[in-house]
Amino acid sequence: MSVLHSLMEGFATAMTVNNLLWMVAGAVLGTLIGILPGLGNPAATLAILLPLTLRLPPTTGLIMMAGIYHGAKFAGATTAILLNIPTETSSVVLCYDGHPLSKQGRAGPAMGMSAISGFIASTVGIVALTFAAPLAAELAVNFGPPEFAMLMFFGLLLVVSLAGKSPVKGLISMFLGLLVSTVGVDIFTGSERYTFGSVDLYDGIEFLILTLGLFAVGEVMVNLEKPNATTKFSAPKRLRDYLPTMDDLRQSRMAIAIGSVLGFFIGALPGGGSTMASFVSYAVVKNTSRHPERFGHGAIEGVAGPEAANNSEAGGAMIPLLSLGLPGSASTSVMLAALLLYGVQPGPLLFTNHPEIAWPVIASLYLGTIALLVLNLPMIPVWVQILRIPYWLLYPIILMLAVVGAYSVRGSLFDVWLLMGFSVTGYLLRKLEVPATPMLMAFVLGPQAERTVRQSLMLSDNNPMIFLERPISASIVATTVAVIAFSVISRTRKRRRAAQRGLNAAVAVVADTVK
Amino acid sequence: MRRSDAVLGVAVTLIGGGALWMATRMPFYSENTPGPGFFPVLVSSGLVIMGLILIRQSLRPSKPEVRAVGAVSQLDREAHGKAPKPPQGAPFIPARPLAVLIGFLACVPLLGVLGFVLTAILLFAYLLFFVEKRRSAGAIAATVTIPVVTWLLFVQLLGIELPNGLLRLGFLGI
Repeated sequence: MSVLHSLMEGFATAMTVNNLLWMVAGAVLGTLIGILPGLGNPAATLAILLPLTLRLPPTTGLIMMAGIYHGAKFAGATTAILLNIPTETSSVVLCYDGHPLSKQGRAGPAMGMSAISGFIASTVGIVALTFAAPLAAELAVNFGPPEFAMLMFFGLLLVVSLAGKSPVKGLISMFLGLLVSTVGVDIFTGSERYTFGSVDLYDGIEFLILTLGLFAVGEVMVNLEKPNATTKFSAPKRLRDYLPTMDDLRQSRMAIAIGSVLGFFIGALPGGGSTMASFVSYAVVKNTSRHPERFGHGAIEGVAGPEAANNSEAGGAMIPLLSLGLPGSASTSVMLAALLLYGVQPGPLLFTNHPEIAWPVIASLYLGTIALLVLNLPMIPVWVQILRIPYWLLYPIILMLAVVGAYSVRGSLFDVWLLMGFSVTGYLLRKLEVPATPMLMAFVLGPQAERTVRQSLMLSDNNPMIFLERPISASIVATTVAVIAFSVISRTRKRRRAAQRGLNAAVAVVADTVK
Repeated sequence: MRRSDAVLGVAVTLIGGGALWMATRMPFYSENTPGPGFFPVLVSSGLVIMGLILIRQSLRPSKPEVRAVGAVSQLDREAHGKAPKPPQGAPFIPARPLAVLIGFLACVPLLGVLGFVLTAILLFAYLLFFVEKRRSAGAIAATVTIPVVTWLLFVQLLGIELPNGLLRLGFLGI
């Protein structure tokens, strides 16, 4: 049976009235629950709704899970853009340009671009999944610890390109994030690191605590410096202002293309994940842009690129899950758990033994994006109304939800204390003009970077040349060096041009005066 | 000299130095493989180096920015991650954020004693009545209803545990 024929049968199964209704219900529930801090990441949302989805027949349950997954992803984008609170790791980069767009009164276009680029990229991802699954599975098997280590290295060094004016401060932020990521018990040896004897720190520090402190509460503190801050932003007045313009779409087409391709390939790597996909996509889009200085100040491509990667990753992540039985991310781990609970063993034989489950699931991923586009685009004016809440009322709600989010992670007041610590840290970082995003990114990527470097050195008997001897790893190193060199040269050229322009203008003024 | 950068550089160097000292007490290599101290040593060394570089940069006299007359550098416009420029002579942390921070910090010990709902009501009351000086009916209603609705949503509907108080009155987690 040809792949296309199987996919069409999958669509036919997914598009029954019953399955479509459950998928739409999943998308709505995923969005509503995904908005809440503490529950916002797709894995948590999927886990909370697992008891409900398991009551349904396997195909229907998995189709609903695809809807929940997309709903939670969109919710993460919503809170990042509107409130600068990324409820999941892959939404962090949306704060960088999405939130400034919100401040400029363009929250609607930012969210609309998030939905549209996500839809386009999901299409690319699902099409690629359908036809490239066997090839991608083979490539994924060749990705070992050295390749992952260099990919992490690539991601971490690209952080410098997101640092704004001061690379030194960006690196400081990155190293702080890496340091915080080492807190807890070392997974290789079981030794405690930086726990200061506290049992509460054995499991390390939770991502949500860091996010809420650095971004949510830090942002509130900075906004409160403005005297008499009332309504923070202006909500758009005309209906057409709620959606991206044709110019926005034209400007973002390269970013969407880059994000779609990168997201799919990174998602296909076991352990790749949408976080890595969105970070790498943002960095590449920025570094290949003709106007990288616009990024961080409300560049619409800064939303389009990462969101495209975030969504095409879903297609890529299905490859290791379905063909190798390896979950590529936390969300696919929950899906794996669901498959096993249904009595279905993912792996190379899934497509042969259970095509009636595999193909409808793939089809439902695509349908889930359509459902999201249809449901959420009209809902954008509703979500944007959050901005109309007067700020004197909005910020206490944010602070209260931050406490709820922090406590709900492990049911521990210690985490709330940690939230306080990171809130003060976040505010001080803002005051000292140290960007917080590199710290958060390094915190997320740090454990995997450490693990893969150590595994690589173990494999090679402590020979660091392993990173250059393997072709894929060496290619990633070469790409990293090229991108950084390009960034440095580009920055130096711009500075020289600006200095020359200023000098020319000053000379012209002096000449005029002398005349 | 940029004083804030010098202070930041010193703080980062001290933090990095402290972390490095602790990291050197863990095995860097054990059984011929990278040990638990491997990554912390590298990272904390990086922090120390960056801190020292920042101190050096802050001690250099800043170059006058070359600009066309009348031009405003785009980088001077409000940038992400940069706090708005305070007026001359303003405190490093203005009064309003400081007041909010103090109230926020005071929540934590109260959570274990009064529970989530009462603590949240007290936080709202402090922020709305004392910091924001809003005493309208809407503010009073919000002070009570928002914490209660939040508790109902998380605890009753979603089954997420929130801190209970010691009073054990048996409703709203108080």
